[in-house]
Amino acid sequence: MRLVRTLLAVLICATALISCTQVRPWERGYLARDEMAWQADSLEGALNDHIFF
Amino acid sequence: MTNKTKSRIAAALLAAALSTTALAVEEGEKAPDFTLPSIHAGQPEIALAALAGKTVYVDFWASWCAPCLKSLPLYNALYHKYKDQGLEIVAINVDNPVEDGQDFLLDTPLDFLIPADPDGDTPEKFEVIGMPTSYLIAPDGTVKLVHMGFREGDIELVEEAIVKTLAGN
Repeated sequence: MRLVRTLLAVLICATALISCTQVRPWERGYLARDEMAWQADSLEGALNDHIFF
Repeated sequence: MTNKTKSRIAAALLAAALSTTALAVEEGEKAPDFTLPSIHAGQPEIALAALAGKTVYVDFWASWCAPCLKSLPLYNALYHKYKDQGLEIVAINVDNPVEDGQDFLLDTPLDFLIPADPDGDTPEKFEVIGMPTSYLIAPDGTVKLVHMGFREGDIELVEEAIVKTLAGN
């Protein structure tokens, strides 16, 4: 039981580690794309900010 | 969980973290070789080894990187000023898709060598730490200058280093 628990913990840690990836400096173009913006439409964003707090 | 297990997990995490950090190319080291296709269709491949004996300025740029776009026309001027003395500029484009880089070049024609590396294998080899980063490589293949970023006045620093390297220092 103990072994199973340890194995499970290691497996979770390993999965967490491989699913994290660093965005390398030359890959930042992906982050600069329009669809990566928090708000797709800045006007709509401004209106929402004005109406909701 | 026993202390032994805990320390084992910690060691495994540390090893995983360390394995992702490689060493960046620094001044005084040999520049890694690369062979890349040109960004312009129908032009020959560009290999660093083929430029041995020349002073080579390798720059990494992308169309989404504002300081890169500022630097490139200035590098073009430098290229024309010093190409007769043996200067070669290789500006590696890392845009993915490559068309983004090609679009920029339609408006801003550049006369030096521009390879395309959309997969980012070459910046990986150089361990580029920021965009833009450039490397001044002496005729014997050693890196004389690593320059990251591009601010006002940086072109003078770069020119100074190029002149020194061309003179054999």
